Amino acid sequence: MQQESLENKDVSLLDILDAVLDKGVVIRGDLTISIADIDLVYLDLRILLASVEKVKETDARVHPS
Amino acid sequence: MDVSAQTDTLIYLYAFIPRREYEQTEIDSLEGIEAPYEVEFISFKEITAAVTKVPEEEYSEANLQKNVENLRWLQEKAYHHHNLMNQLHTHFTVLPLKFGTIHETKSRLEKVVENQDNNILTMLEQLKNKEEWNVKIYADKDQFVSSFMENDSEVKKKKEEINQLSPGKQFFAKKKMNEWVDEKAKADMISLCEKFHEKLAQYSMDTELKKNWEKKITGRKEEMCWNSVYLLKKNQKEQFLDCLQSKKEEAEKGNTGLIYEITGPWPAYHFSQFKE
Repeated sequence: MQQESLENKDVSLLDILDAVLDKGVVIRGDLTISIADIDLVYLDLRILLASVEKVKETDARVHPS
Repeated sequence: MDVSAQTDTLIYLYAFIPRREYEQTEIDSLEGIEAPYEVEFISFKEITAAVTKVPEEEYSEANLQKNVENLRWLQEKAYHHHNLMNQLHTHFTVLPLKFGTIHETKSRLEKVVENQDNNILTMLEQLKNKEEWNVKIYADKDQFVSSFMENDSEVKKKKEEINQLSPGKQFFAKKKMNEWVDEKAKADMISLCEKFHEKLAQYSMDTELKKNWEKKITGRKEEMCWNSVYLLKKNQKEQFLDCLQSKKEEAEKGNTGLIYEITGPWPAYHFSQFKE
């Protein structure tokens, strides 16, 4: 079916974070606990994730197991 | 089972769905965001809330805030929220809540539903049988420019003119032309995207333009030059998808340098806001 070839099953983490952190109904008020605006937290996500990996690598080199 | 029975748990709210749809549909049990709790459904007058229990020590206001700063935690939980919403969306009309919407007790949730009753029902009515699709267009700039150089009639004319000039003059004339080509190609690219968007919008109930993501975020070599979402009727999406498919093929065959990417169907995240 046509749709199958169009549909991107491999939705990226970025797409997901963009949708679920930034969109959807927002309820604010005393009755509800909600996250303060973090919609832009992920903007540097890739860089952050990359640096996490790097730190791990460095750790592995400094403390070979 | 009473969700508020235990004092050490809170209620994580995923979505609102129409009570009538909930009562007409049987679905298998679904895993909640925190094992071993499952997804539960709490029905109010005309609205059913899809919820799950979460431990207070992870989801109280202060701790939740701390948790979301941990990217690994955030990634895992956001994936779950998204997957669960998709599952709900295959069965029901869903009004998705933003990630991390939590109530301390069932009676607090009930108050919110009472207060927002009209908003929720209006939105559910609007989103019935609809879904969201996201279209991103990326541009391989070098390829776009070279295909533009080959096909644009003005460029051909300018090239011929330059060939008539003396070698010394040609150098500067070429430099000037390249600057002109860069700008013209860019304008051309934007207008191509805009035209295509207008076409897609004809098949859509609503659209929202989004910011283009920077390369450092997408991690791609091509520049994102269009990013928008479309609200479609489920039973009328064929035209929209056909239009995209043929555009995609046309772009690939013609080496235009434009790359079309589509994701969906999504629950209508971008079209789920209460009117102020």
